[in-house]
Amino acid sequence: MKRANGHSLPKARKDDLVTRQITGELLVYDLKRHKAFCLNNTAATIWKNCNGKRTVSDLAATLSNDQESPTDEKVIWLALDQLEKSYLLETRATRPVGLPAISRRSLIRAGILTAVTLPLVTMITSPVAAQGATPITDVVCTGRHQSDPGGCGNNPCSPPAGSKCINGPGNTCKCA
Amino acid sequence: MFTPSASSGAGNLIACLLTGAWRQNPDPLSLSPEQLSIAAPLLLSTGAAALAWTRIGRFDVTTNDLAALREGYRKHLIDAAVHELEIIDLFQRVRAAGIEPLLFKGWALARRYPDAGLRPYGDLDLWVRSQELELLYRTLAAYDYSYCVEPHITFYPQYERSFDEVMSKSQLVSLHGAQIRVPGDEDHLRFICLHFLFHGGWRPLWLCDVALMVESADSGFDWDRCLRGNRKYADWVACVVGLAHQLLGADVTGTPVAKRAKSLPRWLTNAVIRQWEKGPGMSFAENFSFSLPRRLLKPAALATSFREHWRNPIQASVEMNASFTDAPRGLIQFGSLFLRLPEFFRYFGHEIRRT
Repeated sequence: MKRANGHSLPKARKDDLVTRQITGELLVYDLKRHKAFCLNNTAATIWKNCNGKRTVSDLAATLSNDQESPTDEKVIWLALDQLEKSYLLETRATRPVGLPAISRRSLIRAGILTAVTLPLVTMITSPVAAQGATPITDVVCTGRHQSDPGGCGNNPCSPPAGSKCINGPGNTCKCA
Repeated sequence: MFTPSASSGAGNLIACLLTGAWRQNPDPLSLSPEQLSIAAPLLLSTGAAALAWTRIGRFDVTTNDLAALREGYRKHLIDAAVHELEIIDLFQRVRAAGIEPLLFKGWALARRYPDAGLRPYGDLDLWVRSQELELLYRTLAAYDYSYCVEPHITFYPQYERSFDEVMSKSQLVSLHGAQIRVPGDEDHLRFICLHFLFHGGWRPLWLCDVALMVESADSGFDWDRCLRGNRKYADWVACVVGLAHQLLGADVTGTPVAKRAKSLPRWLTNAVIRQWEKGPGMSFAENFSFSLPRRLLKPAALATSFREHWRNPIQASVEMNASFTDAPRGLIQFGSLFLRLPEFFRYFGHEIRRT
């Protein structure tokens, strides 16, 4: 979304994303990149309000209203930087010339620590439960039968990389 | 509030942490940071992190281990949101091909928990009629999907239920407006009890599933249907319910298995606790015969392999079709070893030729 002066306004990505709201956090799954993110309340509020029409000033005002506390625009820029790095923006905002890179540390050093919690977007990296199995060879897989306890097992086959031991024709198992 | 003793082993810690964790408001639990550091890796790697986290305190994250459990909850929750879309998509496509499948385990169990983030799952286990399997493969092959479907046409012989029998008592459950077919509770409980045994009881999450289903069983639950068939296998099912009672505090009052649940063989509870201390992996341990050619030159690795592939008493008993009596399991474990020798030599021969 562009304004008359040619500057872009931030717009949140909507496609291929799945979200879940929990207390104080918004979880986002990117179906294209198969990555999950956790947005704290501040980041989530900013992201949800990025509709391609609101300026950074508008977003700061919105966040101030939401959290009942004044918000420095640098807080918004910090959020936008993180959202952009996480591919959660469809359109990024045009940065004002001369605006330095903003980090959480720089905001704290500058004393911009209002009652507003700083925005935080983190990737969810918890180990997946034991669905992932030890790779087996094609020989082991094809030696199994669907009627065996546990069936074909669905173990990853290696080689070929990326395949799994799944049900084949009849009672057989195959790496595919 | 229950506080585990300082001397509790890892398996007992896991049991303490998961006691009642499937309930709406589980009792809070206090653990020392040392105990948590022992339990956290096991909980994370077996998918029970979120359940444990509900007991230790959702909003009081003070250690890295607790933060990791909470991160596990986040991961399970957002994954569940994605899996739900996958299930709806799968059922739409499969039904369009004229197949009416049954969804087992996974979401069919996770939906019962008070929070979608508590019970992780990955693969979508579908049970279809054997004559529909080829059509199912063709249907799945016809479109590009990123999720993992595991079709089944048979289950353990000890399940003693045909597809049509289970289908006749199946239920349609709404998922965001879509109707998903899952087994009746009686047939599902029987299945997950046998599944727990066939995998040597290594995953504590599975016993939470059993506990949850038993506590959810209301007056309409047909225990006769659940236990019907060979008495030995009915006793296996009763023993798993008993494990959920003894290890996780599941309430079995008023059920026909209550008496058995209170008098399990000592080896059975010990085997589960010992298995929980080891964490994940036993079900999918690399086939020993496959690894042997490489490990012959490494005595330490060889010894480790021998230990890993010695069946635990539960799995050995199931493989040997043995009753769950108080009799020692040593002979049964040796029997299980001999039972697998033909399979061992078959794979070993393949690997020798390959290498």
